[in-house]
Amino acid sequence: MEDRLKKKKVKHFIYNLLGYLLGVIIYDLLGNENSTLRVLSGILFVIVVRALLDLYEYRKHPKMWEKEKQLEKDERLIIIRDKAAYFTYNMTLTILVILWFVNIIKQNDELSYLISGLIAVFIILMELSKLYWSRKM
Amino acid sequence: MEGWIYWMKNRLEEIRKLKGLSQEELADILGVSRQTISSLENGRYNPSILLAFKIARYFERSIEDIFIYEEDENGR
Repeated sequence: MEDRLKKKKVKHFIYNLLGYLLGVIIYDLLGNENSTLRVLSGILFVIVVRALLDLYEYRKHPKMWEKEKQLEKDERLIIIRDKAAYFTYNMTLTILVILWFVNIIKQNDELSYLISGLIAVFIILMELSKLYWSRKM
Repeated sequence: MEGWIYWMKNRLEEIRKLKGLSQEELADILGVSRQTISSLENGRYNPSILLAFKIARYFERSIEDIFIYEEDENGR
C-alpha cells in the first residue's frame, strides 16, 4: 500500500505538470498574451486536474485514501517533517543572510532593505510560532 | 544525571513474529507506517509513550516486557 502511495505521488506530480501545460496552451490558443494570466491559467488547470484526480482515486481506491490520511498522523513522519522544516528554515535564513551581504557589498540598498525585512519577518514568525506552541504544550 | 547515557532496546520484532504478523499488517493495526515499525525494530526510532502503550496493549503485554530501558554512566 505504501509503495502504491509513493507511485501516486509521482503520478500526481506528472498530472500537475500536464495540467499546468494544458492551462498555458489553452490560454495561448485563445489568443491572449498577458504573462501573469497565463501562469494563473496554468495554476487553475492544476487545481482542476488535481481535484478530478483526487475524486477519481477516492472512488476507485478508498482504502488507499484512508491509508494516506492515516500516514498524515504517523508520529515518526511528523517528527521527520518537523526536522525537515527546521532545516529548511535554517537554510533559507542562511541564504538570505548571504544575499543580504552580497547586496550590501554591491550597494543595492533597496534590495538589501527588502532582504533584511524578510529576515526579520522569518525570525519573528519563528519566535511567535515557538511561543504559541510552548503555551499550547 | 549529566554524563549518563540512555538507550532503549525492544523485542518488537520477536513479539510480532510470534504473532505471525508482517510489518505492514502491524502498521495497519497500529495506524502507523510500515517504515515506523521497521525503524522501531531496528532501534533507530523510539516510540512516543502513546504508541508504546498501543503496542503493549495490542500484544497484551506490559511496556517493560517489550521496551527495555537501559542507562550507563559515562557510556561504560
